[in-house]
Amino acid sequence: MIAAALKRFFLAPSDGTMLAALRVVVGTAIFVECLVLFPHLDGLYGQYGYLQTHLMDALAGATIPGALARMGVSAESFSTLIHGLFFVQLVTALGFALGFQTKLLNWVLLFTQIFFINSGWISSYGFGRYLHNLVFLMAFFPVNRRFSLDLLRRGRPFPAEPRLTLGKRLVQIFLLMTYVDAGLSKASGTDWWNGNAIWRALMAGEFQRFDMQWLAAYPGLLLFLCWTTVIFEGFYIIGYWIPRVRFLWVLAIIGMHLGIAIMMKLTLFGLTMAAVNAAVFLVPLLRKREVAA
Amino acid sequence: MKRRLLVPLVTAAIVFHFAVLAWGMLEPDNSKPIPYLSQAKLWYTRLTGAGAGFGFFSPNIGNEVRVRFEIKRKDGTIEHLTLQDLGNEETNARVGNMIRLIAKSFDKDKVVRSLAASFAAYIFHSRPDAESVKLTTVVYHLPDHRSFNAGAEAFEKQIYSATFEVDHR
Repeated sequence: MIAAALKRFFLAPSDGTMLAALRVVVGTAIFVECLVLFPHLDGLYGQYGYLQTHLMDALAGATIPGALARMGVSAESFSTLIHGLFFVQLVTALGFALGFQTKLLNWVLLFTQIFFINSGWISSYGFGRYLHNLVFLMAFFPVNRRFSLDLLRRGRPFPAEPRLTLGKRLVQIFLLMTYVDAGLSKASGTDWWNGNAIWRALMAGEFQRFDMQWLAAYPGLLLFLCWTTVIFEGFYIIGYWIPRVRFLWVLAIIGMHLGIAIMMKLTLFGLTMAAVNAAVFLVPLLRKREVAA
Repeated sequence: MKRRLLVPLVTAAIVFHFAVLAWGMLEPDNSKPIPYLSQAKLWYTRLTGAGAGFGFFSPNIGNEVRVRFEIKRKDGTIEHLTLQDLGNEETNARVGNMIRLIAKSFDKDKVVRSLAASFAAYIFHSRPDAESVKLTTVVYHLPDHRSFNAGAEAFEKQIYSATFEVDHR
């Protein structure tokens, strides 16, 4: 009975809507990221950027700029290389979002992601980590079954397949695991239990968008925001599978990310994570209701 | 035959990948590396993304480290700026990571000096007419919300300062 349930959970044929929605989100996010970072590539990844190559190698282990520098590649040549590859990533991300030659572009995107992550390990943050993981997972499954130029060119719908469900489940499990990690990490500190975490996050200069000093007069609100963040993140892996609460739980997580995008200078990260959650968790729920109707 | 091998192989690959994911999430920051295994995991992380943690703004949010530059130009003018002034929101999220390295390496003089020199060199590159660049690192101490509400004020404490000059020899 358990085996049958697991087989149904992972391998019941589906139409790939979730994976396709995720493809659009991830492709668009990488495209926008490329546009925003393009003028600053030398600073972030260059051999003589904010952190010089030999220093980056010493602090974070071997990097691609360091390896190329040891092979005699000059800073100027490396700059040309990274600008060229970044342009490739920009165009690839756009094509991937549109669902054109999707399988090929998925692997090209994975290659460029690997190149840039390993050119500036310290020049990346959680946003890049999520995208890297998602691009890798998507490379093994068809993500062009809906909302794609590949579908338009084919002229007829793709059939439902078990591997589309497997891909969907693996992406869902990956994301839920990251939220468990986020929730547990927060719960292990004191700031998230005494309300200071939200206070510090909103007042930290590097992320501060608005003057939030008034929040200090509302400790109850700070406690509420901190505790709900820890609970919703940490128990997302359980909440999503409870029919009565799953829809609201997903909306709460999306709301949290939209809050980050609006209140903190992490706009692209916040908007992308809200969209990723919508694609991975909301779309299947809405699709289920649509099919049931 | 091929199909019979495919299912267990795919299953094993999936289990392996998610095991590395879980390892990266559960591993404490200060854990001792395991010879060969940690290096193999690092390379797997660099290729796939799996193996890194996702505990952002946790377990606590430390005091903010700020890096400021005072740039003296050949014509005598002085400019004040931060690394964040040179970029946009997305680059600044990444620059924040780099600056936190200074805070983590606070007790290692050579590392702090190298980081400072690297940042200063970038400032010189962005300001070719600069004669000297003074880097100052401060920690911004924000009181907790209850103390702030009771009247405590935020303050900055300098933890490092260095001046870099153009060598005209």
